[in-house]
Amino acid sequence: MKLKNKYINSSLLLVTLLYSTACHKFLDQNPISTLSDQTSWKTDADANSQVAGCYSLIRSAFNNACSYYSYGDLPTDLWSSINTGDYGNIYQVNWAISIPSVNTYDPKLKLRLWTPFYSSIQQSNRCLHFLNQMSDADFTGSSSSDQEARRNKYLAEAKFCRAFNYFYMARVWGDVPLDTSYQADVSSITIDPRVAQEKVLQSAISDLNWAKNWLSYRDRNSTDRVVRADKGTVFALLAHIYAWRGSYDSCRIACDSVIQQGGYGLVAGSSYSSIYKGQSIEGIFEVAQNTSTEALSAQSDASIVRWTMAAPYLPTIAIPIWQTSGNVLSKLYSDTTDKRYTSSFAYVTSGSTNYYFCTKYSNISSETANGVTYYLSANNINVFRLADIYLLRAEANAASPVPDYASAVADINIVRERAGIADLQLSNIPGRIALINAVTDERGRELWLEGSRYYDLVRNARLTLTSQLPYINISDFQKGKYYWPIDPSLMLTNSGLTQTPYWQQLLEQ
Amino acid sequence: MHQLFFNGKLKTCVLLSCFFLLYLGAYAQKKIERSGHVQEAKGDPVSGATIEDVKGHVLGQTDSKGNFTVSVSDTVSRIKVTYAGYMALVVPIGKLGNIVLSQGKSPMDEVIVMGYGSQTRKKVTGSVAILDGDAIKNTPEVSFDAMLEGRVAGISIQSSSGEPGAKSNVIIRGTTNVDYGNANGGNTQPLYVIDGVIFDVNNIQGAYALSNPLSLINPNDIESIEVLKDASAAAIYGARGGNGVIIVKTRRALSKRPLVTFNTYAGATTAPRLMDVITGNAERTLKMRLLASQLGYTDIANDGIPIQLTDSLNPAFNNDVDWQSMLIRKNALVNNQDLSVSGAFDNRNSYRIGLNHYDEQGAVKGFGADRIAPNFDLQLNPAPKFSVGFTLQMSQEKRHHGAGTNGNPFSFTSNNFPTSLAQMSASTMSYYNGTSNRYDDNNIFLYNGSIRLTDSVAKHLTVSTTYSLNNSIDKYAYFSPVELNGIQNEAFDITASNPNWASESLVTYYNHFGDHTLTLIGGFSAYNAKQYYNYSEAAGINVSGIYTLQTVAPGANLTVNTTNAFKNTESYYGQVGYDYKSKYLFQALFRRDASSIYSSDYRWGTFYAFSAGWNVSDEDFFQPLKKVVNALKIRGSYGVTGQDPGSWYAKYQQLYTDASGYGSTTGAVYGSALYAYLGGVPATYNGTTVVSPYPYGNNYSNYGAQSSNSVHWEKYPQLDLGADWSMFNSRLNFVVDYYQKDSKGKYLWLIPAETTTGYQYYSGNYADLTNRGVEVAVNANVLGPKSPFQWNTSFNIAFNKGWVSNLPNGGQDLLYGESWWQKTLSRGEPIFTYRDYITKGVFATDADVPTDPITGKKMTYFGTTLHAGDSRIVDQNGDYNIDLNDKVNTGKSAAPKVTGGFTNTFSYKGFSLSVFVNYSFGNYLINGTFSDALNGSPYSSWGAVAGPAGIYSSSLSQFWSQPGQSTTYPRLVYGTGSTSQDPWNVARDYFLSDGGYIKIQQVTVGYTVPGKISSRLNLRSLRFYGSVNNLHTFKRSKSLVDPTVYDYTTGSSNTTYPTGVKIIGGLSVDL
Repeated sequence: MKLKNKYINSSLLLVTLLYSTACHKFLDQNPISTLSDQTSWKTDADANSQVAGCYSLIRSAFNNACSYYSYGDLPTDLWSSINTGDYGNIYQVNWAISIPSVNTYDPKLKLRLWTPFYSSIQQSNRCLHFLNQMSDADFTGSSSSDQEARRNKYLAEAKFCRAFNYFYMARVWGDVPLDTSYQADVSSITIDPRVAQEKVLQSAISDLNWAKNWLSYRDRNSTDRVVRADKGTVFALLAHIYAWRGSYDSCRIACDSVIQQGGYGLVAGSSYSSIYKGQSIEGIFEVAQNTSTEALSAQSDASIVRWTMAAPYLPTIAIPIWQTSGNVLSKLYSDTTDKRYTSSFAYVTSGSTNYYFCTKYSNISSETANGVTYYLSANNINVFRLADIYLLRAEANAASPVPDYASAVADINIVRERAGIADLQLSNIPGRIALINAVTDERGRELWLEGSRYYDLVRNARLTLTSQLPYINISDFQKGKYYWPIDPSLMLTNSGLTQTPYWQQLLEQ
Repeated sequence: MHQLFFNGKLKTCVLLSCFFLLYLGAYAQKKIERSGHVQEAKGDPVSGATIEDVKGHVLGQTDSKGNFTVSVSDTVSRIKVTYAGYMALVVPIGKLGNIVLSQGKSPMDEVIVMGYGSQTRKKVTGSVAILDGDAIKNTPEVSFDAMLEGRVAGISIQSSSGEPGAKSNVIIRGTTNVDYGNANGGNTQPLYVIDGVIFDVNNIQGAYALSNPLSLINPNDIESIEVLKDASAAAIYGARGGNGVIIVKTRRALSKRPLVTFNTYAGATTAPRLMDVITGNAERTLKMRLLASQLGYTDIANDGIPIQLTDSLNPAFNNDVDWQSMLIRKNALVNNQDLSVSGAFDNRNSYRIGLNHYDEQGAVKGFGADRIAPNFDLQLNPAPKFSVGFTLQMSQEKRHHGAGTNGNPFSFTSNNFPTSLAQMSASTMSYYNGTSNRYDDNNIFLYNGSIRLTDSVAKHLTVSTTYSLNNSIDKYAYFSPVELNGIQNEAFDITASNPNWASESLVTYYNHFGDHTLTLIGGFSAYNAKQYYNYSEAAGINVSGIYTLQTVAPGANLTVNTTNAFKNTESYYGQVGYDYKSKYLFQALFRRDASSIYSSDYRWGTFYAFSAGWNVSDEDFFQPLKKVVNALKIRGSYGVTGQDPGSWYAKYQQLYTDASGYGSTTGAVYGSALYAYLGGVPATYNGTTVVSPYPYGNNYSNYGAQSSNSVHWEKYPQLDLGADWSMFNSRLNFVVDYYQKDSKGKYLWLIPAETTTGYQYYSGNYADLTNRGVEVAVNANVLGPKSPFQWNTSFNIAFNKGWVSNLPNGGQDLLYGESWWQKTLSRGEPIFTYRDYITKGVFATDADVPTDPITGKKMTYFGTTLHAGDSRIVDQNGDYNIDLNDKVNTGKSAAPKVTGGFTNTFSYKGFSLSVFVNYSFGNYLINGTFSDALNGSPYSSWGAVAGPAGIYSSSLSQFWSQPGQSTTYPRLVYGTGSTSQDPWNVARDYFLSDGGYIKIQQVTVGYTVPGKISSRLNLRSLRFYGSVNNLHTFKRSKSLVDPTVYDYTTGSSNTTYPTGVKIIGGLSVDL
């Protein structure tokens, strides 16, 4: 009896000990209903979703305070008046008004924050890190070189997005912090200073030079054409970066690549509106949001429709809030048969007054519930398109100290002919400045409310030393007023930051 | 697959060990036997009484006939007989014959369950409070946690709703919850151990916001509740003891003779505490008077005043509807029945079977809770030295939530209450008050069972193993008609299921060598928790008679999400207990825990505790004092317990498929009639599912939080120094404790990250907290034991001071919540202090508004010039503009500094009267009721949704109404053209009220029919009783409607669901 007990006792102890060894994996519990880095990055589809995240975060950045248009069109001559204090101040370049950091609804604050662009950049950095951790076999492809190419295509897209964000931020703020690596632990990051713009753009150019090797030109059958980067998109971005830096020779070469090899074409002058719905033959880079499951609420203050349109397009608003300048309109479209004018503008009675509406983004649908109707706006954000690149090449040819008048005018006329208006005559252009202004005007006509006008006028002012920006005179321009201030709240978590030079005296912490 | 396999393997391990145990045989031992018989005063034998020697060594127990035989050595001259609920008796060995125990107990002889063993109070070195189940028996509440308030020193109970069975927040020795709004899973409640089964409510998720798994347990089945407060008491539960441990023991069979007990009570909730409301004509007159005095001529001339107010002749505009009483029952009924059968049979086998039914109507129409709870307990001794126990509690609770959803009892928020002046049709009213035909089906089903095997494998050596299983399955389905939500017919179906299992195996060695007693315990436990959650919602049901998700096609109108989560822990522990003559006591505990929450480098945590006690009164030098102080013990402990972060997957970098930018939508209509919008969260970019760690593009950034790879155990080092003493033959007893509880490495998951990192936040173990306090409990039998009139008084008070001792980012304040009720974590301050505007009354005249000496302009509020009648907000930064930068940390929080209770029980012959009072002081609450009511009645919307004007009728004189007045509150009415200063925003210090109160919680009277009469009726005993509950609250702040009910995240006391006075009467019969 005693012996048996002993035996049993030791067995019992043994069993107890077994728990720890046999059941060791007991303590490894991966989440099965929650996505995580540790349990993801396993398939081509995972990689694709993460890369799509880079673009969707660009979309978030551009919808924040309607920022694509707030940065690109609002502080320009397109408007006669802005009927809301916040956006009125942005229009009038009163960018230094002090705002408590908790007033997160305030567009003046939102537009001083670069945070959404960095989320997209860090998504690129994450993709570059994790894509390289995946094995070739995880990617689609029948051979290892196909799989390798597939991985490189995703890496190229991530680099494109990163370059695009840095370029966009450099245009808005000038110098910005440059982060090009994945950060496994952010808790110790408290200093990240602004880096010279030139260095930021160089980094973007080097990303794009890598990316162009791994992307193909336009695939007309791809459902992702235009809204995700291909080789033409990379060249279009390079062209814009070079133009912004004033490297117009490189700009011209990049434009040539887009125009000659990109596989794009101009849409017919009779169907301009198809450009703004998205994915037309002319589109080079667009931010996708034209399906009912991704669209913007037209009543949301993220939507350009809410600001620039009213009844009957958007019946919830009686009078447009950002009011199109009839003067500038008639100055630019002196030829009223211009198809861009006839197809993209409407003259509407709202209340007791007539207003000009830009109707480019009028693809509005409605949802009705309980007798109340809500409106959805389904238009892609047009970032680059072929006409833009033709005119950028024209600018490159015009900007040179010895302009190539013929080539510049030829490119302008390609765009004009499509619009159904008379060619620009070389004889009517007295000199370099006139040619540059002719390009800028043509860009104004072609790219009205496409997030381009502000930067066009900045480049114009750099070249002509005359400011057409209504609220930045040339002296302030030369002091760098056209670069946005950063919000002082950014300095709370980043002690390495300094204010944008022009705004230093005006917006201190 | 992996995980299932290993779970399976572990289960096999457990079963295997049970199997081994079953084969363990008996162990024979030599005997020098002494026998006796134990009975109670009425003559019934006492079965299960413990026989010890005077040193506390257990010698044996009485059998079902009350007989015992123990083996003792010749040197033993006296033995001690103890039995729960009776005074211990020391009997000379020569007089063992018939031992009569009398009821009542001496505090030092209470038997306390300490983790995996039990001890008498005299030998306990930790801080443990014990509450007799009889003290809370027949309290008309669904759930026992709500009954603990004020009963035990150092435990504070917060409730957020008067809804029957709503969950409460139980805090032991100061709150340590830094997870704002429990948004990251919380893990804030103490660990409940019910009959040895881990019942961790932190792991139990409900389908309804206020769902409370403890409400499934029948409070009348509870024999005792122990609260383990210090580290030495709780450390045996190691990693889970951080929030304290509450041990619940349910009732067991008392005697061999089968005992049938029937107990019932019934009553009603009346007089709910409501706001003072003026309705109908009086409301109209009041509003007219205000408008006439405060509006300009133009407003009045241009019909600025709603027609409801001006047309005094129209009866439709003169409705006298008190919306509160319209929605609230005058008398809500409550009734309870308990039936139990218990007894014992041969060889100390015993059983108890109980059935409980509890039904309570809510004070708000359409609410209620109805519980049926059978339970079963069986103790078997198939062989000598070998016992098997089986306990199963089952419970089903059906709950109704009226017209509201998720905690809000009404179908509207408090700022769009219908006004008494608005005509409401009978059908609208029936929807509002929840009486119309609406599907509202919430059922919670609980089982909580365990099997225990105990075998004394050798002399001094016991092995036991327990396997326990529980689940709370909460199913909530309801239908929200378009008439209520204003958008579409919607159906919801939510299921939360939380199966848990635990296995414990331990070996206990107990021996004494002369005057030395040694206990060694070693054990292992494994625990698995699962959370299954299914949420589904369908909108646009356009067919009559369908109340579920049927008929809605897949798409934007059909939303489903499912979450399954798992957590496993594994623990080893050892405990050494030693005492010398029961005079010098020492105990050491050591425990290692591993949790699946952490990565393998951080998985194991080590927890320990040391404690020592000295029964000073046993010393020779103390003898002269003993006539006065009959017992005195000094004890101290130090140890470290622990805690998990609320999130089970904290180490994983969470990713989201949220591709929404600001303003993006899937095109579905969301919201309510008042505020409808296009909603839905896009998950794609051009049709490709998007994955990133940056979700919800809000105004300007995402809510992405970087996870911490190095997330690890939170550690709670705690020091406790205490003394227990009894005077005048235990007629006056004190327990005093001082403690300091640190919480090191509290897991924060929303620490602001540097913005170029892309994340808004990062997470990790970065905050430290400290709670320090003193607890005093006094119990006195005021009149001697011989007095026929008995007066027992017991009083407890706990002082706690808690503060944040360390924060990340160099100690910068962390802000939480929306701007209108932001709270702060700030070093040196209590946790979550209110961040408010400080006001100094109002500007009596325009001239009082300060002028900026530089610009020459008057002070502004968000750029708008201030005027007479506006609040004089302190301009903290001196920029002559009041904006959110002028808010400051008030240093005030919702955590009380002093809590406690006071009970007086009087008895004479069969009669008894008991008065229980509890109290809480030192906290501040936001008067959300007042703010919401005021916000609900801005001038512009008076008429259709004019708020309950009566609410401020009592404080009307405190509002500014004409130039020159110095008042507390700013002007009530702003005319056309003047910009409102948002004066009723809760973040103004005039809405911060002292939350202190004393509440007469319970007055109970009882009468036990004399034995002669009851035995004539063939009854063992018969008792009648009645009680009045929640009788009256004395408040520090007059303006708070009910300071006992508040939201513990925001600290807002907004009594939408009122509490009322409950009166019951009942009887209890033993057959």
